[in-house]
Amino acid sequence: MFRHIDPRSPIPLYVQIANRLRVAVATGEVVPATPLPSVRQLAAEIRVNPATVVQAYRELERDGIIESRHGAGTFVRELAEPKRASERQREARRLVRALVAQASSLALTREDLDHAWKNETGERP
Amino acid sequence: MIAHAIETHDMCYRPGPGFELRDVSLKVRQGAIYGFLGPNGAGKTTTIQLLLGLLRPQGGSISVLGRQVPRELPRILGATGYIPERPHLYPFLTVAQAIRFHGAFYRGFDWAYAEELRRGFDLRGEAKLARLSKGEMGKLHVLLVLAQRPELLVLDEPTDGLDPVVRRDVLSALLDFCSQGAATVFISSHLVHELERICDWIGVLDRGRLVAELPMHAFKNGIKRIRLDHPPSLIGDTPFLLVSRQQSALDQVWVVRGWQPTMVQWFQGAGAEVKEIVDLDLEEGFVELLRGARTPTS
Amino acid sequence: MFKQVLVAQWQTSKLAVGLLTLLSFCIPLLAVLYGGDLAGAGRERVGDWLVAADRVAQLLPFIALLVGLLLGTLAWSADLAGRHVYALSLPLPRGLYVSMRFGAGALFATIPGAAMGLSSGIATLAVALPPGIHAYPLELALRFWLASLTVFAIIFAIAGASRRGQVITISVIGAAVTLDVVFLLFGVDYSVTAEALLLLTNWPGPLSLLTGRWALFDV
Repeated sequence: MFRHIDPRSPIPLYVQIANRLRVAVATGEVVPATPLPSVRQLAAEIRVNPATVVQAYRELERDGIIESRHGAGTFVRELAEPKRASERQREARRLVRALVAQASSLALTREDLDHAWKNETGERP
Repeated sequence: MIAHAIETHDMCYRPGPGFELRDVSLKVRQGAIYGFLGPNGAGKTTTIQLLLGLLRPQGGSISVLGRQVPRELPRILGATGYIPERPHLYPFLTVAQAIRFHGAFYRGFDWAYAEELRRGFDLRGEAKLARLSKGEMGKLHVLLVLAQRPELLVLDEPTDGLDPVVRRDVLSALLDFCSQGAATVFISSHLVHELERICDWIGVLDRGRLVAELPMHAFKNGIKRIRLDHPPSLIGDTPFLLVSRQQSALDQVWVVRGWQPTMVQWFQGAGAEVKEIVDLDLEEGFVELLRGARTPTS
Repeated sequence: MFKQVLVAQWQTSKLAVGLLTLLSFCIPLLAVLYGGDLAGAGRERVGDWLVAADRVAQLLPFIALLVGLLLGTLAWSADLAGRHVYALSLPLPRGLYVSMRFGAGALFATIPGAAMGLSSGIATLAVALPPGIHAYPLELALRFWLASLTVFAIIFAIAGASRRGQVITISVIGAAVTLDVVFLLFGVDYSVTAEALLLLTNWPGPLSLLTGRWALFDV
């Protein structure tokens, strides 16, 4: 799941990890009550500093996406639909932000993008 | 509780003309994963050898795990796992014999953990060290130092020359160990991308001098490449640290450290136009830092 | 810890120990091979036999030298190959490590000595000596053992010395040789190396054990 963590990106690693989990939870890829890997397991698996994983988990816990139960581990929380929707929107905005930035640096217009979108998704232009 | 696992003050070493370590003052915090970066020939291996008492400095002081080098060296080494640049184990021993030999010298050597790692790394006990591949030898080194359960790990290019699969296994085992306790890791490497994932502190050595030492996030966030139009020709005090300036056909590119977004105003005040601000990854940042350290900017 | 050093050093030294033990064992037996029943033999025959036995026994100091030379260098061969990095990174005082290496090597150096002692004993028992001739198996074995240990200690010290120590040793020897050449050229009747050798090989010099007559059988 964390194959696309990019240490070279200006986005801190812990933010990337937290975001990936956030999206997975919001889209239902990871269902509530799923146990998350321990800090030790995840750090070793994706080969990042354990402190980074700790920070990511802490952020997610603060935002109410996950919860740690004493002795049992860390689990995905049940999120109410409004919360999930807001997470989905957040991710969508993030994608669009990147697209807009790149498109403007290449001087592509909204029309160019619309056309390309319709092409990709198979809609009739 | 000691604050710094490794601390040197103005360490100097000059074995002869043409090479010199000068005024090296390292501070490695307890529990940090500290990446020691530098081009070949900068003196990384020499620094490590000085830290572990394999060489004697000509000046300065060295303290490791709160103890003086070389006065309390055996006690320091008892709590330190060292992987040197070149393999140093006895080639005529088998893997099992090498583990038995190594473990006999360390109090608290975890034989069960050693066995678990041996199986995890897929190393045959009867294999002679001389017959091991580079990757297997690398894994054995890691096995031995981790089974010591040390307080400090000093690794000199531990994954150099290893194929990506072995490198992954080695890093995973290392990070797994780090998550279990408060061990400090001092790892020197020129594989910048690897360090980028796992280190939280960075020290940069160039031509025998410590050029930078700071937390990873500060290094990465603070260093930027700025493209300017109408750049100021005379520079007084800058709110940031100017690392380098380069004139290209279209514009001037400045590399700065300690950048804050509000500093755009300084450029505007100087009549310049900021066209682009680019984040540098660790490798680029490292290259720019070296460039800045080597050429004086006026 | 010592057990592991012993095991590791055995791996490098075992071949040499085996060969030297075999050699040391054979020599005293060879010395009596020329014998036979000498009980009633005439003086001349006894004389010839003594000379032959002596000649064989004269090999012993060279074997003692070989024991010391080989085991002294093999004690350090594993560490020399890796430039002492491994040993220096182990958590024990350098002096302790050196002592363990020395102890292991000295132990190995005793094996050829013991073999030599055993075969001297066998040789003495196997031969019916004519009256007036005595055998000195124990004394000879002891001398052999001490000589091997002495050479071992010297070679061990040189082989295990730091780069600086080895450079100093070679420089001193080189200086002595150079001086002798100068003396020779200027017709000075003095040789530094000859004097040094005399000092070493005459009592109480350390190499005195090696020189002189080695005899298993004597009057």
